[in-house]
Amino acid sequence: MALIELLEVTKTYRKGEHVVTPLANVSLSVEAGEFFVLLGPSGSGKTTLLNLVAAIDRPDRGSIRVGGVELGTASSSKLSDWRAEHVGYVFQQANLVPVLTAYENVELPLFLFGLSAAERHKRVAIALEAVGLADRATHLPKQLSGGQEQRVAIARAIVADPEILVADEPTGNLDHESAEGVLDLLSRLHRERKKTVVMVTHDPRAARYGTRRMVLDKGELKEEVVAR
Amino acid sequence: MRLLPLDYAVRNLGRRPTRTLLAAASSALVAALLVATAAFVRGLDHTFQGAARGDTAILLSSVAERDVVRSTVVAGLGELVAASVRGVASIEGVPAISDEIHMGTNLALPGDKRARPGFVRGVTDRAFLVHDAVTLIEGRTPRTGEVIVGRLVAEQLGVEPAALQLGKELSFEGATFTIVGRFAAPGTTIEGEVWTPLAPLRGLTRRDDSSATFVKVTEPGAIAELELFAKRRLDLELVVIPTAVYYKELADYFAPIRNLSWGLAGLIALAALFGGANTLNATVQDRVRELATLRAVGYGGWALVSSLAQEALVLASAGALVGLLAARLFLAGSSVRIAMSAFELNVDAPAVLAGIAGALILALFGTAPAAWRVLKLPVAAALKEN
Ligand SMILES: Nc1ncnc2c1ncn2[C@@H]1O[C@H](COP(=O)(O)OP(=O)(O)O)[C@@H](O)[C@H]1O
Ligand SMILES: [Mg+2]
Repeated sequence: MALIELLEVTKTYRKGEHVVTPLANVSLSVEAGEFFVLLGPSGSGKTTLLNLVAAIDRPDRGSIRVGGVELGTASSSKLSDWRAEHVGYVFQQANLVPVLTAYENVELPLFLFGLSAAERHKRVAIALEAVGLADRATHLPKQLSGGQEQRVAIARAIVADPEILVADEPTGNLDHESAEGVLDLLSRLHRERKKTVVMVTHDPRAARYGTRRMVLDKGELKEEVVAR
Repeated sequence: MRLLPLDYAVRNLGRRPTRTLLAAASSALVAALLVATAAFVRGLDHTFQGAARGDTAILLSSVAERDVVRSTVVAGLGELVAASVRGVASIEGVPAISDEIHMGTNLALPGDKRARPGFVRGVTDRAFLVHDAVTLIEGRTPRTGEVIVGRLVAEQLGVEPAALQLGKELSFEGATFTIVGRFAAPGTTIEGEVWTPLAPLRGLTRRDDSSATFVKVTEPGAIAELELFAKRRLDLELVVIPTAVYYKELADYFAPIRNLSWGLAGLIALAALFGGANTLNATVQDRVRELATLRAVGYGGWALVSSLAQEALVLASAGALVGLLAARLFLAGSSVRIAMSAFELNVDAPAVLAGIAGALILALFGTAPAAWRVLKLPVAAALKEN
C-alpha cells in the first residue's frame, strides 16, 4: 500500500454565496521514498491538498490514509499528535517564532516528545548541522537572511525525524541562489535520509527536483504535460 | 498534554513592551486598590470588634434612639446600679461601672482660627475598669483642666502628632486643657477621642447628668440583671444595650460605606479585566500565523492556551507585586477619618492576599476570550494570514 493515499477527496469552501471546490473527487497515491511535486496555477487547491496530507485540514468527502491511518475522521487532538510524529511542514514563509533563537525554534517540536534536555540538544545539533546552520544557532530570526530562515524552518521540520516532509512553495519568497540552496537541501533529505517529500511549487526549476510531477487544475489532478 | 516552555511565554512579554507595561500597570493598580479596600474594610470592621464585648452593657436613655451623644441619664446612675444590681464586676472592691458624658464638639489648638470637630468623653477613673482595651501609653490619667488623647486624635483632627505631645494645650467648650497622657485602645473608635474628668466637664457644659453608663458584668448572663433593673426603675427611662449589639449596629451603620468601597474596587477591577482581555485578544490577533504554525508543528490548542495564560499570570503577578509594595509603602500605618472617629488601615496578610489573588484571578478570567479564539483557530486559514 502507498504511504499517502487520497481516495475521491472533495473539499469545498463556502464564502457567503460563493462556493469554491478546489478539490473535486481527487485521488492520489504517493509511495514511500518519492519526491512528489505538485504543480498548478495559483488558487487551484495545491495548499488545500497539502493541508489534507499534513492533517491540518479535513476533507468534506473521501478518504485520506497516510501510513495506514485514516486522517479524515480522527479527532483533532489525535491529529495534533499524529502531525508531531509523522510530518514536517515547510511553509512559503519560514514562520519562525521571532523571540526564539534558531536553536530554540528548531527545538520547539521536541517538547512534544518528553525527551531529556541532552537528547533534545543532540537532535537540534544534528538538524542544524544538516541544514548547514550550526554556526547560527544563537541568532534570532531577524538576524538571519531569508534563505537561512527557511533552512531553520526545514531543520524544525526534520528535527523530530518524521517520515514525510511537506513543503508549500518553499522557495516562493527566496532569491535564486537561496532557492537553489533550499531545494538542494530538500533533495538531499530525500536521497540521504529517505524522506518522502511532497512539494508544491509553480517554479519549473524547482519542479525538476521531483521524482514525479502532477498538475492540479480546476479541481482535477493530471499528469504533467511537458510543453515543448 | 505537552506544553510549550515557560521561557516562550516570558519572552513573548518583551515583544510589545508598551502594551506589556500598560497591562502590568493596570495589574499593579488593581492589586494596590484591592489591598487598600481590604485594608480599609478590615480596619473598619476591626474598629468595632475591639469594643464589642459580651460582658459589657450600656445604659442609655430610652428616648435617645440608641445614640450615646443624644442620650441623658441621671448623674448618679452608676452608684444606683452598684447598689441594686447583682453580677456587676468589681476590681479590688471598686465596681466596674462608668458614668460618662459623650459629646461631639469643636476642638482648637493654640493659634487655630478654624474649629476642628472632635469627640470628647468625660470620664472618671472607673472608666479604665470597664474599657479595658484602653491603656495609657504615655503620661498619666487626667485631673481637672487636663486631658488625655487617643492615639488617632491627631489624624482625626488633621494636625501633626507633635501638636498633641504631652504638655501641649487644647481648648473646647470655652476652656483650655493641658495634655497629660496618650492612650491606645486597639480595635476601637475610642482611639480618636479626647478624655477629660467628668465632673468639671459637667460644670463647663452646664449639665447635671451623664450621657450613658457603661457596666461590666461578671458573666454575660448577668446582663439580664441590668435589664431587670431597667424594668423596675421605669422612672429612669433606661434601655440596656450589650456592647456587642451596640457596636454591631454601629458597624451596620457603616455597611453602606463598606459596600461602596468594594463596589468601587470591583468596578475598577472590572475595567481592568476588560482592558486585559482586550490586550490578550489583540496579542492573539497579532500572532495568528505563529500560533497556527505551532499547531501545525503538533501542539494542541490547550498547550497554546496554557502558554497564553502563563504569559498573563507572569505579567499580572509582576504587576501585582509592584502594586503590593506600593500599597504597603503608602498605606501601612496610615489611618482614615470617618464622621467623628478615625481608624487605622489594616494592611495585614489577608488584605495583601486579597490584592494578589484578585490580580491573578482577573488575569485568568481575562485570558478566557483569547483562549476561546486560540481553541477555535482554523489552522489552515490562519496559516494564510499575514
Ligand atoms: N480557508 C479558506 N476559506 C475559504 N476559501 C479558501 C480557504 N482556503 C482556500 N480557499 C480557496 O480555495 C481555493 C484554493 O486555495 P489554495 O489551496 O490555497 O490554492 P493554491 O495553494 O493552489 O494557490 C482558492 O480559491 C481559495 O480562495
Ligand atoms: Mg498555496
